[in-house]
Amino acid sequence: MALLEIKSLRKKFGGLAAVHDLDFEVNEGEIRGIIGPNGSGKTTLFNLISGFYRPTKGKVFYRGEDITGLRPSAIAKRGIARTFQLTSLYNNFTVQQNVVAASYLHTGVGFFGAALNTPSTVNREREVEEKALEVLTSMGLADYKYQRADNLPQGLQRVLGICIALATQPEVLMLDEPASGLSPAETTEVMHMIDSIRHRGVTILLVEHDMRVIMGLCDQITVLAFGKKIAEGSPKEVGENRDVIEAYLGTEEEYVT
Amino acid sequence: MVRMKGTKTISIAAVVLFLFVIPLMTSSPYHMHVLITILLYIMVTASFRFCIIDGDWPFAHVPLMGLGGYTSALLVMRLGWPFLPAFFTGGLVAVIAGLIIYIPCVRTRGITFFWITWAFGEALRQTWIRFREPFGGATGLVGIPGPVISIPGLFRVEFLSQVSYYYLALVLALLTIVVLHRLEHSRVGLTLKSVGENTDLAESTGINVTRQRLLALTIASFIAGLGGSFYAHWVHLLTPVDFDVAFGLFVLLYAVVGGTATLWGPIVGVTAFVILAQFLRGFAMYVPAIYGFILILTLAFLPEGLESSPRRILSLLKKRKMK
Repeated sequence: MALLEIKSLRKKFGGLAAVHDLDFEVNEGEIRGIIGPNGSGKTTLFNLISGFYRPTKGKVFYRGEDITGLRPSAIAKRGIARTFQLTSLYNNFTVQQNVVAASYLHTGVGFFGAALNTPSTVNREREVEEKALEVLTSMGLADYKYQRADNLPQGLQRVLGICIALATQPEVLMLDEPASGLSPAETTEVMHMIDSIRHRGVTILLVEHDMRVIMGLCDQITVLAFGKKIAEGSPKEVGENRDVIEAYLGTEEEYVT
Repeated sequence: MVRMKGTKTISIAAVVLFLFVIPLMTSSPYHMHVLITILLYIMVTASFRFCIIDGDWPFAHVPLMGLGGYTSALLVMRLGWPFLPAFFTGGLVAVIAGLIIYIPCVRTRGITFFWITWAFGEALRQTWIRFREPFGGATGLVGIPGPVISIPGLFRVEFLSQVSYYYLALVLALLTIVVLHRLEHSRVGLTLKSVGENTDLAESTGINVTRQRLLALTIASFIAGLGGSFYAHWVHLLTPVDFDVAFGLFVLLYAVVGGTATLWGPIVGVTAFVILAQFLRGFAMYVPAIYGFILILTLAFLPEGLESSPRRILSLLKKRKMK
């Protein structure tokens, strides 16, 4: 059984179908690239899976469970985390607080425990902090833990965004353009990180425009155009697909006229 | 670090001790009245600010405070309940009414939330005017008995003097501050702050934003209800006008001018304004204008509120030294 199943998913904004009857499956452990020209519905797809949008039609199944229409926090609880296209952080928090704030999902600290500051609460708080530090260390941000998030350079802010998602201990991680606006060197670093996250057993959905990242990392690629799937396959298959080339470059006839 | 923490503990203990011995220095009912007002308003404003942490400005707060007062007063006057259960029921009823009001309202955010909760709060207040039975209509409830705390056969404390009310208010205000401080510096506070800072990100990391906002609103409503109940038994009189829009705006003003970044804001803001109000007693008609002027000055020159002024002065001094 596929880990994530998307079945005839549709999202309409007014008369425009941003995602049009989309079907696809993601298997456990793979890196799935999702590419397509601007406006082809990639980010809408992410918002549909993570619960920020409700689909007009269709269903999303995760491990066989229908998760369509659940609120985003409930979907995150089931193990699907995401990052945002424009890096989204808690700007006024320290780097460590950014990750700690996302770490309470699996460590219940009761309300009254928090109010009374019971010893078990203190212990669990320490545990959460240690786990947060682990995430930061694994992503190379431990040295910055007391810095304010908005003081970090752009590249590190992007990494922190991924750390926040990782702090929820996801099984599926959806990355929305993790390399956009980064220098080639930074891009290579982000690629290494994504690869190392995959080796921890996290399934990854990757939206990206940088073909070097897509071709270098993905096992399978799904190509969207105008909200529809026009191709799917290994990087090699997709790179040779006529429909894909057309979608990106236009048809020969169009080119002539 | 350790030494700093030590000095902090000592200075806080000193302030608390000082607050407890004030009645030994002055027992003038007028001074006591002003101090009790400050303590009560700190309860109301600090709980209001607790919701600002996650980005909500709940304007039904003051009417809910009134509801706590009406509940407690009616339970004691009509049903003959003892003070303590009536007092806490005042808080609970404010929570229940608060949830009824806020559950539909939390679908909105920001200024819309502010307006809608204002409307609901005003509707609540209107019921006290419209229903003469049991709320007493526009003239309200008169002759509310003072608090009596007793365990039959063991002890009995009756609150008669302003000094005794002062101690009750002091205990309530200190408890409010301790509980809110604890919560703010725990996981609860960090979660609320993350909701205020970036709602979508918080939701995406598994924080149920709606539930967190309702949690903060519930805590605030409970404290407001208790405050209202204390108010009712303290002044022995409740009228719908006591909880009108003007008072709501004053609470907002105390919070904004005091500063909303930390718990100090409401404390500083309330103290400054209540003391200022004593000097303006002959000029009641100019008070709104003067307060408005202060608000504009604050927003222009101290956008983070009075609470931030020590930091501001320090950084200005540093700059001057650097020159």
